[in-house]
Amino acid sequence: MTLIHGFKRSITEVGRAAAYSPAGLEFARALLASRADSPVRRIIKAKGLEGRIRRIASESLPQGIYFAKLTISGWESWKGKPFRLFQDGKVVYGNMVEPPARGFPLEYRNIMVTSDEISRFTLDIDAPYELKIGRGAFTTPQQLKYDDQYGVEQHGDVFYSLRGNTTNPKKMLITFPGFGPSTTRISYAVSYLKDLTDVDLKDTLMVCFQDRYLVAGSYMMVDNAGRPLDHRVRNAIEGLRSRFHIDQAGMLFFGASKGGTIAIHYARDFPSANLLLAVPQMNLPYYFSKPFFKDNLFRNTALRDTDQPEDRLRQYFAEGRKIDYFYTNSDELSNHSLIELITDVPNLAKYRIDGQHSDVARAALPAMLGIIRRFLRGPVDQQFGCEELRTFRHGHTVQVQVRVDPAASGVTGANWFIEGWNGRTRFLQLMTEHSYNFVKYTSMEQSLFPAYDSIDHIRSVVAMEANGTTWTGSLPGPVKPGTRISKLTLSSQALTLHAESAREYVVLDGDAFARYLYRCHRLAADGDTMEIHFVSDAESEVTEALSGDTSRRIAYKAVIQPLDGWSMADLVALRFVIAAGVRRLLIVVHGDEYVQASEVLSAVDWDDTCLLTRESEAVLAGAGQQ
Amino acid sequence: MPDLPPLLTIVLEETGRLDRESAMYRRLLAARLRLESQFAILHVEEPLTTASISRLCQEIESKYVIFMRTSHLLSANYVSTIFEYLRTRTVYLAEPVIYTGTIAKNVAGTKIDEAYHYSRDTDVFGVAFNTRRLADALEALGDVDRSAIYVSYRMYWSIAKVKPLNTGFSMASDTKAAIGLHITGEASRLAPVIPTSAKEVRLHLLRYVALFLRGMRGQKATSISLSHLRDLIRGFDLIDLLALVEPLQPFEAAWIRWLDDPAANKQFYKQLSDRDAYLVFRDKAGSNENALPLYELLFHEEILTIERCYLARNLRSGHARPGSYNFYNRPIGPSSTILFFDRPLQADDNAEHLYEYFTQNHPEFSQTYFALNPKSPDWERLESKGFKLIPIFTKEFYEKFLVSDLVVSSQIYSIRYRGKSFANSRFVYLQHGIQLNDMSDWVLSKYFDVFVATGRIEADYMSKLAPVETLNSGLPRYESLARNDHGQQHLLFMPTWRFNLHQSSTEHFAQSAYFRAIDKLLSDPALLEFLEETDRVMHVKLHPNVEKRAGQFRFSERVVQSDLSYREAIRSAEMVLTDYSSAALDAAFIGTPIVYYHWDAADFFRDQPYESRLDYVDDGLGPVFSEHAEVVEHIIQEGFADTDPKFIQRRERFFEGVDPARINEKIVERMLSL
Repeated sequence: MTLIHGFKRSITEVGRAAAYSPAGLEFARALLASRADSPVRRIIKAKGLEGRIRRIASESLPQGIYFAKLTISGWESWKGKPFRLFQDGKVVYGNMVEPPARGFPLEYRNIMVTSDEISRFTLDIDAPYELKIGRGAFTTPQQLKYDDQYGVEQHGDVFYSLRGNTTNPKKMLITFPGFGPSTTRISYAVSYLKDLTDVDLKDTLMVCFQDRYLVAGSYMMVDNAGRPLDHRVRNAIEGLRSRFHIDQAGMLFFGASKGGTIAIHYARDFPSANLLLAVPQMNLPYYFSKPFFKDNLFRNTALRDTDQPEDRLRQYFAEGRKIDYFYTNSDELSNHSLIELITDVPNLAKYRIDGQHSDVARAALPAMLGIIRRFLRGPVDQQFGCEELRTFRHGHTVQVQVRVDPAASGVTGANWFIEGWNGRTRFLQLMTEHSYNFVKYTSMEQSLFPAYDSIDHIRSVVAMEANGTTWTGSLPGPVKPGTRISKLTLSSQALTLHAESAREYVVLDGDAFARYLYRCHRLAADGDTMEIHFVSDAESEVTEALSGDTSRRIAYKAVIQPLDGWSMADLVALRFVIAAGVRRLLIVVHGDEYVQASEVLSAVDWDDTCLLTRESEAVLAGAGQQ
Repeated sequence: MPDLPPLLTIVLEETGRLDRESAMYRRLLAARLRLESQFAILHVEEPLTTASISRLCQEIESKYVIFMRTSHLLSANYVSTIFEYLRTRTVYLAEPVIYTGTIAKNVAGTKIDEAYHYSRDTDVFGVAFNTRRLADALEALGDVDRSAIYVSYRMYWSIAKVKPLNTGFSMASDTKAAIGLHITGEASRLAPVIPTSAKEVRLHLLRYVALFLRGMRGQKATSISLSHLRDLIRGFDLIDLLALVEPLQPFEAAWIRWLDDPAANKQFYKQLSDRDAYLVFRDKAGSNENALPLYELLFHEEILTIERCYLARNLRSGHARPGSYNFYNRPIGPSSTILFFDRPLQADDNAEHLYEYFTQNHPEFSQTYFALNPKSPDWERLESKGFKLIPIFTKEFYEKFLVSDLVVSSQIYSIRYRGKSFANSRFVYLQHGIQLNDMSDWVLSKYFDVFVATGRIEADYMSKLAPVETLNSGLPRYESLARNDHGQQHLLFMPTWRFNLHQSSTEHFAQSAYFRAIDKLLSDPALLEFLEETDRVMHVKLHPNVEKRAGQFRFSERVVQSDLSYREAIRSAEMVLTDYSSAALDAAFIGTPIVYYHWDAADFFRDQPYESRLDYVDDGLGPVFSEHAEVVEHIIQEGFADTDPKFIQRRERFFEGVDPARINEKIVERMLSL
């Protein structure tokens, strides 16, 4: 009680240090772990101290690191514009101004700073703002209510809620959350999958992790102090698994978007576990290079230095792990041209959904729930007759229409797919349900691409119901893509900065793709520039570029030969500079296509870019120095 | 105190004798009990025209005027409701709920929606106009036909919405919807182009234009110009409302689409198995060798030709869209759902016969259904025969229709369900009988993939309209039709129907030449005596439309209303007498003598939506009489018993091409190949 009364007084430096000391932290956590109706909790509540106790309990930050809460007033004038918060002239946080929840101020909570002196901070937009700095994490009443509602528990620095069978489960379903809206009052959600019932989870322990770090989550890679979380989360998972003697094959890791990336990360030590992924980010720095992240997560070196999800996933592919992966072609930022192109991976099922990144999980919910329920309760399979198939060819795409038999016509609320095989990889393209329930078809956005989809191996139509029943009907004949578009073998190799001989790299975005041949090698270990030469022959030798800027130190030099025009050359350049992890990008266009090339390359979304043409050695386009 | 003019005048158009005993007239007069001097009835013997109405408006002193005919129907509260409404206010217009057929018992329950406004007859009748305002309007609108006065009046005074009063009025005829509108040659425009966004007015105008075009197919020439029609269609954005025209007037819908966009002169009409049928509109000289001429019509000084052609299916919009389902895509096979039906309440026609043949000979087709109203007396009979029955026009029926690959019927109904109609799906029209009249305007308004014709004459006639679709196989019911020479034989009288008696009152029907001629024959003493003496019975098979009035006829012990099926009645007939019924040809097909009695030859085709294409005297399959005495004499003298080689020869020519043993086989072969 002494400590409690102590909180009521104005908090002195000493008091604050005591409260946030390890002992204070333990005590605070013990208080919060006590029953809500216990006398001590009632006193705390009555005196309005719950928030403070919670902040103390929330985190054990090293000395010299603080949480900051930024509140921006008059946001309406700055809507859609970027802002940055500086500490001593150095960016500590930035984002795009978005409208807050109705009736609430625009807040960014839990910005990590290294000083609690307000005067050392400035905002680069001329808007009134308030900055609060403390040793405990900031939260909102909505977040507290949410945590309470979903039973989020704190276990050390790891947060999760448990559902289902918590006494003697035979299986584990482990979920990881995606991002909420940037200005939400509930910054840290859990992927609770409310559709799943106690009956569904009769034999399963469901662990819903909360990514309760930084402003909106750290991909559960680092805690608020920037220390890797890896072993703490792994221990939590393994602890639960071993406690209940659950076989790895009885584990399913699920996540959508950010959650998918986290799922990939933490599945590493469970090679026999199942993975259900929707639109995970394959390359974090690449994903973070966009306005919403470039002044926050992009600057977090720990997220750059960790294994990238793409590398881990390629490893899982090689291991033949059982993976169900939902994606859209209109999401190159997350896909990084891996899932769209990957073929012949055993035990991989690719589900191509149309729409944008954020549409996928919603559109494919029945199928994803179906996969989960098949895992939980065992599969239920039905066959049906596919009575009719029509193929439609439009430009470089193919669409299909099928008619299903009366039994399948009665299936409602399912996801319908046209299914085939890319080597050993199962490929499913989402279809549209016609208003006639016996007709299913691929819309224009759901087209098949004869250039890289294995049209010849499309065999059936599949309906996946949320209840776990899967209906399969063999096509009455082959899909005929015609002969006009030849089938290509597109490389799905990762981009490497160490390619002495020419390699192929393919970028895919929406309904277009572009192939490149490239070589790349390192020049200076402490270089700050990625130098890229676009050439007509990847084997040709190129000399040093004369950018006129002698301050450059070239870290890597790549020679790239576009094979399908220039349409996505900007994305390739961006991927190279991000892979190189350097600040500056120098692009040199060789040959006589610099006009077309510059049109695309001047749009490279990188601040410090210099674009030259070899012949003129003139600067075609250059962004301002960062 | 001087007499005040009445509030309301009802102008009663009756060019013949005013039937003062008719329920309608008595209902009008009854209103006088309360309203006595406040409304007047003015009988005019001349047909109402725009000019006469204009003149009447000058003469009539009452504030409001209503025009009607004794053939119209009124709700009992019609006059009082209109009167009560008008008594307390000054309005441009007041109107009841307007019907074309029977007035609903619960008028207030009639849904006043777009479909109502489109199907509402737009003639001048039944509506209370403000007399002075009508006079004012007609000074400007004197050049429109009477039938356009209502819609023009609403445009002129910008009357966007009219809430019908809670009473009903019926034109008691839907002939106009069938044959279209014939407007006076003096009209130089259909309606004024006073654009309005009022949907009610636009819907009325759309119907008016569609019916005018329908009428033009029969009328062939008009003083109205194509450019005026275009002005109306574009000025009122009628194209936006065209979905209401499609179901019943698809030909006119295509026509309106062309008028709206003359560059698109080939208008898709009906999907077929190999190629699609299009209507081609040309207002310039020149013709297409591959197109079939249908009409040549004179609009003011411009000739419009309308042709039919068949074009490759890939030209049809939507052909290459996976979101658009093609009901022709898959061949008809054993898993196909096939629907058969005759009339909802009466089977025993060609669909029943073909169904029976088909299910017996193709048992591998497991989804073959016969649709019928469960209240039909045939339901039980067919059920006991093992027919797979479904209730017609129910949700189940429409769902079956949606998944079906083929519909086969002796009737053409405009079935539309969730985007499927016979415009985009397979339909075999078996016909109820043989076309003896020129029904080309009607035929061209219908969708079918196969039109079953009987004999070369009909097939040749049909081939000029629908060469791809016509099949000269003969009617399915003929295949199993054989003359029953052994059992009890009878004389059979099968009078057909008259379009102008549709919806007519009992009184009107009793006054009709149709009723009188038939009833006179049925009760002819000489005929009755002959029947008695020869121990014969005359069966009278009334047309289904007349059956409800059977009690008005003087049947007797020797002249009975037949309760036999058509088939039995014909099979056992010693002779068949008819006026124009093509059902008599069933008898001719099996060699039974037939006799024609044309008591109204001169008038018959005037009021029908079609004209005769068969010269009964020169080509008929039996003798033709126009006088009562002649026909009675022929029967009494047993003239039918003499075999006239002339009629045998005509019969052979008439049925040429029909193999009585392979009728169903030929139809099935064709329908399965669609």
